Amino acid sequence: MSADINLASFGKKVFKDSLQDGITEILTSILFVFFAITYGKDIFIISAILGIFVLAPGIKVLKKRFTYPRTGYVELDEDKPKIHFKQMAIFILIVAGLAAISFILLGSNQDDLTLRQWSPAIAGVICSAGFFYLAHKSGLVRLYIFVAISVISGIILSALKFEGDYTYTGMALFCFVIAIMSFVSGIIIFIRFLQKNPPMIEEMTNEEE
Amino acid sequence: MKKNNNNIIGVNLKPIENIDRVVHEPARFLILAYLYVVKKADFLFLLRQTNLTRGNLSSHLNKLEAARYVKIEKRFVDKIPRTRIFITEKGRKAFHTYKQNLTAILEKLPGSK
Repeated sequence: MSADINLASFGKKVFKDSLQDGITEILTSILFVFFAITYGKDIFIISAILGIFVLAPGIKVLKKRFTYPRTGYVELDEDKPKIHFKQMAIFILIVAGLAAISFILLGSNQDDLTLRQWSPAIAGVICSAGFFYLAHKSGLVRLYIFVAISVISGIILSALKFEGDYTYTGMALFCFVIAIMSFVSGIIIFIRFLQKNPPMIEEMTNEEE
Repeated sequence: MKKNNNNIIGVNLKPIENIDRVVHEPARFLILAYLYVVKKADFLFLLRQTNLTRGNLSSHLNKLEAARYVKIEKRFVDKIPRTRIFITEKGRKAFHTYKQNLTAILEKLPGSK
C-alpha cells in the first residue's frame, strides 16, 4: 500500500466525472441564449432569475433522469468551500487593469456607450474566471479552451463597432458565442456519454450472490 | 532481557501491528477513499469507481458498516432499489488516522526519501 495517497486526485476525478455527461454545458448554453436575447432590456431580470433558481435544479433533474442510472449517484462535498484569495486578487487586478486600459486609451470622455462597448471584454474575463475555476478543479482540457474562447471573443466583440440602434449588440453576440460553444460541446459529450454508459441496476444477479 | 522493538533495519515497526485492519484491506481502503472525498454516494457509483463485483462490494460495505465507519441507507425509488452510503465521523477519523500512521511508518523506512 503506497503512502502517496493523493486524496485530492480522488476528489478531482469525482468532480471531473460529474462533468462528463454534458448536461451542465447544455443547460448553460440555454441560459446564455436567454441572456443574449434579453440583455439590456427590462426582461433581463427573468434570465437572471432563471440562472439563479432554475439552472441548478434543472441540472439535478436531468442528472437524475440520465446520469445517475448510468454512473450511480454521488453528492460532492461542498461543505468546505476554499476561497482562493490569491486567485481572486489576480482576477480583480485583471478586471481593474482592463478598465484602466480602456480609460487610458479612450481618454476621459467616458460615457455609458463606452461601458457598453467594453462590456463583452469584461464579461469575457468574468466568464473565463468561472471556466478556469472549473478547469482547474476538474482538469478537463476543454474547459481551458473555453477560457481562451471567452477572453478572445470578448475582446474581439468589444473592438468591433456595430451599426444600429441596439447598443448591446456586442454583448448579445458574446452571449451567443458562449451559448454555441457550450451547446456544441455539451451535446457531443452527452451523446457519447449515453453511448458509453448503459443504465445499470444495483441488484445482484443469481451468479453473483 | 529487554525486548528490542527495532529490528535489523533499525526502525520500530511495532506501529504496523496497530494498523486498522478494517481500513487496511485494499478494497475497503478504496471505498473509504471515495467516500472520504464526497458527501454521499450510492452503490452503483462505488461499483463503477472501484471495479469490484456486486457481491464483493456488498461484503466490504457490510464490514465497514459493522465497524460503524459507514452508514448505509436502503430505499426503493419507483420500485428500483437504491442504496446510499456515506462515511461516518468515526470512519472519517479512522481513515485519516490510518493514512497518517501508514505515512509515518513508510517515511521511517530506509531509502524512503
